Amino acid sequence: MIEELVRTGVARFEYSHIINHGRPSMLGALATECGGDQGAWWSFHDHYMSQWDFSREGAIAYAASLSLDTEEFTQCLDSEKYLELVEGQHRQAVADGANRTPTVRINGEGAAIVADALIEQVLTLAAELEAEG
Amino acid sequence: MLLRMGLVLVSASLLLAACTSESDEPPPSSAQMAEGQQEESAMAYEAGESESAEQESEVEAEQSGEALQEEAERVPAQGGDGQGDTDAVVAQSGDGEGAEQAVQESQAEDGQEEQERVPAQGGDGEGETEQVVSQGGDEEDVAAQGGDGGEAEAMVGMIIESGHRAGLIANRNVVGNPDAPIVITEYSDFL
Repeated sequence: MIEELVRTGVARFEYSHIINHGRPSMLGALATECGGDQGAWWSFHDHYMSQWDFSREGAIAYAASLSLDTEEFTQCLDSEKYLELVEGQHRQAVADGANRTPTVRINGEGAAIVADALIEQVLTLAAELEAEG
Repeated sequence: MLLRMGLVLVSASLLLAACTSESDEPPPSSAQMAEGQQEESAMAYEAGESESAEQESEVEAEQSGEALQEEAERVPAQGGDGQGDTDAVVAQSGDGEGAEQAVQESQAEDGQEEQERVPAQGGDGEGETEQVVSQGGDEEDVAAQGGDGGEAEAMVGMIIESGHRAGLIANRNVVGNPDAPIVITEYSDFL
């Protein structure tokens, strides 16, 4: 249902980094952002959600498997190009009260992390918006 | 003359009497009397020990006898006549097992009731999560959160795929219409 809402443009989904596990968390976030430079942000996101290799070499190997420019990717990763961005998202998440992962918000308000409940909340809000507009 | 002969006779008789008394037993001295008392007391102590030892052996014999009697009473009781006692013992152990089983069953029933309660109460997911947290401990809380996180991540994956398929904006960390009235934000760590 949420797929439908996203597809139809009613809802938008955003992901925000939280760094709860030190260097491995940071490397995954930085690699994802560097992958984003070459249009592979969500590929890295999905990759890190499904496996636990948070090494530099693993990130470069995955970039190579996606046929990305590994030299550019490695330079981005080693220079920590997106360190400030990631740290900023983490600080904002903490400021928003995201004290556990995952934390989900709908229009900034607390939301359920159980799929069915989240769908219910989104549908309710969508119905309210439709009634208003 | 007769007087002298009388005196001699008397003295002779006295001497005879004295000799006969010396041959019987000399009168004990004070030291001899003391030693005799010690010997008597020692004998009395030894006799006391032997008496107490005898008493102890008698007590042991009585006790062992009682024990044997009790055992002898028990054995036939288990075997035959004293079934009341045996039954009582069996009944006690049976009651214990029964009680434990009853407790386990009641606990199991409670657990079932709790398990039945959770999905029954879980009309919406958030309420369900809160009830699980309140019913269970921290471990259940963590497990519940982990499971919910997995569902959320799976849902996120579906959204992303659908976004890609639909050709919607997938600019870095955003999927969907940039002007959408509903913004779902996930704060998460890959680990």
